[in-house]
Parts: sequence; C-alpha cells; structure tokens
Amino acid sequence: MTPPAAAAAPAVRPRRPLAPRGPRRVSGPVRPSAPARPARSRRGAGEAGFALGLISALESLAQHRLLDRLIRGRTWIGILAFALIGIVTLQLGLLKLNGGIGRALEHEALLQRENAALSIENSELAAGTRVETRAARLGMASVPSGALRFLSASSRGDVAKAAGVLSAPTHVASAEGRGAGAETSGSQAGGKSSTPAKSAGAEAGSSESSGESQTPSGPTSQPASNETASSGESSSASESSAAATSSPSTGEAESSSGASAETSQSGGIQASAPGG
Amino acid sequence: MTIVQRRIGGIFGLFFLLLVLAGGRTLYLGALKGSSLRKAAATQQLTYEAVPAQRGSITDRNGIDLAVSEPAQDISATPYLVKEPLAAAQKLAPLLGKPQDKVLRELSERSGFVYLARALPATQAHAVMALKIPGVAGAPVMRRVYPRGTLAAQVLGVVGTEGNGLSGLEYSRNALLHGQTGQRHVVSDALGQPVSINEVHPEEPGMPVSLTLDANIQQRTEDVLSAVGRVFSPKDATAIVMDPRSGAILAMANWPQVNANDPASSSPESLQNRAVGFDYEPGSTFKAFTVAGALQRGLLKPTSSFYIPDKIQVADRTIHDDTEHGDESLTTAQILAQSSNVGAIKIGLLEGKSDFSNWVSKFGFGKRTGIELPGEEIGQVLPVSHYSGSSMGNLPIGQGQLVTPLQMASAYAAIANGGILRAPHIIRSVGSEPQAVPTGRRVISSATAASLRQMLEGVLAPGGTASEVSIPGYQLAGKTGTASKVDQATGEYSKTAYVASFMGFAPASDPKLLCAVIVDEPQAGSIFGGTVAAPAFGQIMSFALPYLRIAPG
Repeated sequence: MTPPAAAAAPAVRPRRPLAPRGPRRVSGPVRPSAPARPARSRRGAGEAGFALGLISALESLAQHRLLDRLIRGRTWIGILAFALIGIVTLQLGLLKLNGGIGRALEHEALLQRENAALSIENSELAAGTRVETRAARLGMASVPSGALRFLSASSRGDVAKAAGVLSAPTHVASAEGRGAGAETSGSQAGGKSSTPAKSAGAEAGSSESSGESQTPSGPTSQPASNETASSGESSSASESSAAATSSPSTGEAESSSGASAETSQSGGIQASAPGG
Repeated sequence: MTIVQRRIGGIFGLFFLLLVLAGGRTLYLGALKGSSLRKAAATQQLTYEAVPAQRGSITDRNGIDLAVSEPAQDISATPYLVKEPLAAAQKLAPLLGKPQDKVLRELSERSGFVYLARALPATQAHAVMALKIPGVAGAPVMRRVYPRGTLAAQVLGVVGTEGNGLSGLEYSRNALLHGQTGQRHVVSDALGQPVSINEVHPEEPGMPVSLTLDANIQQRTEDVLSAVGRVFSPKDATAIVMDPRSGAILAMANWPQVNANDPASSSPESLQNRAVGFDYEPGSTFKAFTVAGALQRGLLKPTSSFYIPDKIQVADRTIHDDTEHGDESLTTAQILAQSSNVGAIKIGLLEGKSDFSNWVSKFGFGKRTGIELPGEEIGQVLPVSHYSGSSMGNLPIGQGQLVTPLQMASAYAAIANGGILRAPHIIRSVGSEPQAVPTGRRVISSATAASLRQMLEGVLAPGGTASEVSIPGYQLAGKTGTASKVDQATGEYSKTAYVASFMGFAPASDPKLLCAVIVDEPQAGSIFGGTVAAPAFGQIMSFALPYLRIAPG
C-alpha cells in the first residue's frame, strides 16, 4: 500500500538522515517474508525444488488478491451455502442411488425367478408326448417310417426346376382345388398308412395320389406349373433315387398301400414288439 | 442499542443456543453413547449377505432345458424367539407344504436354530417372509429343477442341499456348473431398506452345458424301455442311441426310471447309470469282434465255409449251438446271421488266443471309453496269460469276460463308421465353447468294416436271429445276444438268468445311427435277444431314423 502522502510541512532541516529505519507498516494482513532457502545438497535439489515450488504456489494462491476480495466481501456466504446444500444433495443422491441399487437387485432376483420359471415351462411345453397329444387332437398323426419318402436332389437339373416353379405364380385361384387335392392326397399317403382303420381307403386313394405326390415341393399352390414339373419329374425320376420318386405310379401305390397293409397289421413296424 | 439491534441480537442468540444444544446432543450421542450405538448398528444395519451363484443349466442339443436353477430360500427359525409357535405353525404349514404338527414340533424345539424348509421356491419363500413372524428368517439359495422329471435322470444326476452335484453329470462337471458364491456388505436403514451395498466378492454364475442328447429321442427310448419293463419284467434295462460317425450320444436311457426331482423315492440301484456302470457278459453280440479280427488278418472271408457240427469240444468243455442240428456247412456270414456258437469258436481258434486277445484290447474292451460321465466301469477282460485251455471255448462267444453297454456300443460304432474306434461323448459345448470331437484310432480297415456290416445285415434278414425286426425302407444291420449270467450262489452259469441284448445300426450301407439295447434278466418266458431286445431296437430306430431325416439306404 502506498504510504499516505506526506502532509505539507515547513521546511525543517532533518536532525538525522532520512533513511527509513525499516519498512513501514502497511495496511492489510502481515505478509510473512519469504523464508530463507536452506542450503541443500545437489542430490536432493531436484526433489525439494518441486515440493517447495508447490508450497510457494499454494501460498501465492492464498495471498491472491481475488481470494482476498472474495473473503472480504459477501460472496463467500453464497458460495458456502451452495457448497453445504450441494453436500446434502449429494448425500441424498447417494442414498437414493443405494436405494435404487437395492431395488435393482430385487428386480434382478425377480427376473432370475421369472427366467427360471419360463425355462422350466418351455422345457415342459416342448415335451414330445405333449406335442404328439396336441397334434393328435388337431387331427395330425406321425408319419410312419415306411410312408416317409425322401427325394434326392441333383445339383444340375433340380436347381433350375425349383427356380422355375418358384417364378411362375399363375393360376392360383383356379387351381386351388387341384392343389388342395394334391396336398390332401399327398398327406393321405402318409396319414392313412398310419391309421389302420383307413388303410382300405389308402389303397384306393394312393394310386391317385402317388402321381401328384411326385411333385418335389410341399406347397402346391402352382399346380399348373407343377403338372409341367411333375411330368418333368417323371422323366427325370428314373435318374433320381428309385425309392423316392419312381415314375410308375403303380409302384408308389404298391409301396404305400403295402406300407399301409403292413402297418395296419403290426401297428407301426414289422416286429413282434413288446406290448404292441 | 436500538430495538432492531436488540432483535437481531436475540435471533442470533436463539440460533446460537440451538447450535449449542445440537453440539451437546452430538457430543452425547457420539462420545457417551457412541460405542453402544455402533454395536446396535452393526447388528441391525450391517449384514454380510451370501449371494448364491446360479448353477449352470444343462440343455439338450436343441436347447431344451433339462436342468435349471431357480432362486429359492432356506427357511430357518430361532425357536426361542418365536412367541406363539402354534399360531406360527398354522400360518407356516400350508406354505411350507408340511404337516402343521411337524412344523409345531420344530418351532417348539429347545434350540437356537432349526431348518423349517430347504430350498423352498422363491414365491413360497416370499409368502413365508411376508408373514413377518419373529424368529423366522430366510437365506437365499439356488434350487435345482429338472423340468422333464424322469428324462435322462441317471445321466443328469442330482444336486445335494449344499448345491454340489452328487451323481451323474452334475457330479462329474460340478466345477463347471457350480459357479462362485458371492458376498455383499449391506447397510440398511431403520425400515430395512438398503442404503449402501458393496460387493465384497462378485457372484459368478456357473457355465451352461449343452449335451449331445436329443430330448425327443431320449423320451422315445425311455418309453420303449418302459414297455419292455412292463412286458418282460426284467431286473433292469438300458439303451444307448449314438451317431457312430462322431460318437455323439443321442440317448442314454435306463429302466426303472427315476424322478430327478425326487431321487429319494427311488432305490439306490435304480439311480445308477447302467449304460456305463453295468458289467455283463455280452454273449453272441461279441461274435462280431471274433470275426472282425480274423477278417482283418485275412484268415477268412465272408464266404469262407466252415464245417459246423452240433457241438465242439475245447479242452474239458463241450459247447453246443443254441438249436440242435446235424453237421452242416456254414459260411462266415451265416455263422454270424445264425449266431452259431460252434462257428464262432472255430473262428476264434483259427485266430489263436494271442491274436484274439489283441483284438479284444484293440476294440477298447477292458478300458474306460472316456465318456464324460462318472462311475464308468472298465469291465473285465482276461489277459492272455490267464487263459485256460477252455478259455477259447468261451471267450469267442462272448462269455467269460465282462463289458459295459457303452463299450459294446462304441465297438459296434467302429464297425459302423468304417473302422475308427472313437471315444463316445455326451457334452456338446460348455458355455459357447464347442467341445472337440475325439479323433479316434483305426482298429480295422474300411473294407473289413464294410464286409462285417454286410454280414450283420443277415441277422435281420430271413433266417437270421432277428428276422422279425424290420423298418420299411431301411436296411438294418446288427447282432443279437443272449448271455447266461453267473449264479452268485453256485458260481456256475445260471439256467434262468440271462442278459438279452441287441446291437444294431442303420442304414446298413452307410450307418448314421446306432442303437444298443440291453435287458437284464427278462422274465415272462422270453430270454432271447432276438425277441426281447431286437424289437425294442426296431421301435427306437423306427422313430429316430425319420425324426433325424436319415434317408433309407
């Protein structure tokens, strides 16, 4: 602080020299003089220098004029209040968070229970016997092994034929009856042979069905193209596995009716099955 | 001093007084009552909770859960804290599923701790805790549930009350399935709500294990064995379905069945997985290996002719064929198809005991197969140095040595797959890591295997010992076996106790499925493999072949 201006005074010869005895007291807090730096060895000079530098930086921060202005003013009240409210808010937030964690853990346990219950239910629902019972109620029956027909595909010809069938969606409405008939008769060939009571019907129906069941794919919504395809199939059937799509329809009829007769006698396989 | 200044001073004084009171209270609670309050807080608010690890699930090859863990609680009581045991018992009994008097007895015990229920399902446990009966507490645990009940129960095994596997896969793979129990430090408020939760050790769930089993094939195999049980009233029965190309087990069934959710209701014997733990004399099913060794060595061909009398003398033993006949000539194929004892012994003698013993060992008999199931027996194979003069009158026809059903199935798989003996396996993957398929080792050439398969077709052809069994469209191959059991009392072969078996595969030309059926001591007048076990084989295969979309061949 600047010393007060000297008041105007008459010229008086000073008795002593005007050199000041020492630094005059100035307003404000006493500023301690910088401590004398102790002599240090060259070895610890680097480490001590960093620590001392840090301390002096903190000291200078404490003596910064902005901080001084802040403390002397009323702003610190607001800052302190904000800090205190903030601490309380943080604590409350932490408590809420922990409470949330607790609820999350309870929710996790609930989900674990539900997952386990669903896994159990899924496993029970997928039981084969249950599926068979439900299917039987809907009028379905397992295909006996003898009635299952396998078609062998050759990479050259069949891919083109399959693509041709897929790309010709014509005459859907008019041929629905035939297509349905083909589907039904196709399924009859399998279904009837599994039901002994209907095996007599299978013989009559199978010769009719076997020609149409030569079509390679299940859906028969394009019977017009299927007819073309089936004739193509007939001609190529001799190339493919004879067991699957033998061209003579009587062969199909014989085998399927044979299967029907066999299954109607033994109830599934030709075996002296225990209990069946 | 103005009025305003006095009022300001007064308000300041009031707040100062409040501050002093608060400080004093703080000092009182913190300094004087501090230790007792800390102790109370520790008991009421601080808890270390064990977090039970969820045991890994076991699924079949299609992801159907066969064993699942669900959260549960062990309900315990401190009897001397239960003020009204009668009222408590009335409320608890229906929830615990126990008689009221039993619960009352437990709550009236002079003890500090009693279990009311172990592993009570979580929904019931919550209902119990919601009653807020003083002295009743719950500890979280995991409960093992087997949704399919009896399905593959002996293979899966069971888990004890402490959460460790006690048998089957639950035991052999306990380290994988168990996981790691965690621990939590919980601080609760006065209402019991957690205000601070710290995980001391995180919980690690067990690894899920996927099996090679197919639940549908397993179910059908068990149904067939149940039918065998009803008709022939055997002591027990077992069946194995496997893919001979890889050794993957698709079904491993045992009869009598056991409910894995209630193993205590079954006898200890029925808990055993007989597919790996049952030693038996294989009988005629072993003849395929007698022929295999001679065929591989070039000592005979399928069409080689043998003079077959009705009986043969080996040292001091006379061995007859099953049916009386005059002297006849049979080819190797016919010897297998008709299961001629005399023919098989002649082939064994042609091999010589040293070679025969080598072939027995090559096909894996006398050793564990290496499947991931516990309790696997090794069987009993006579070392060649222990052969007596009459051993070669016994061993080539499958008597005088003990094998397990799985050893037989694996050895037949080597014939079916072209000559590679591969360790069977039942675990498909652990977590997301698929298990490597065992590489196996060649025991016979593919040509020898093909010849054997062709000869074994004759068993199911007209004139064969299992000619009654057929599946339309499919070529089957296999071998029947009817082996006498040793009477433990006399040490002689019994005339009433037999093991009926059948080993077979299909399609014969390129086998993709193998099935072994072993029936121990069938009754009801029929003892033969061809009439007891072979039809069961047919029923299992007639389901499994189309189910797996295996084309006829």
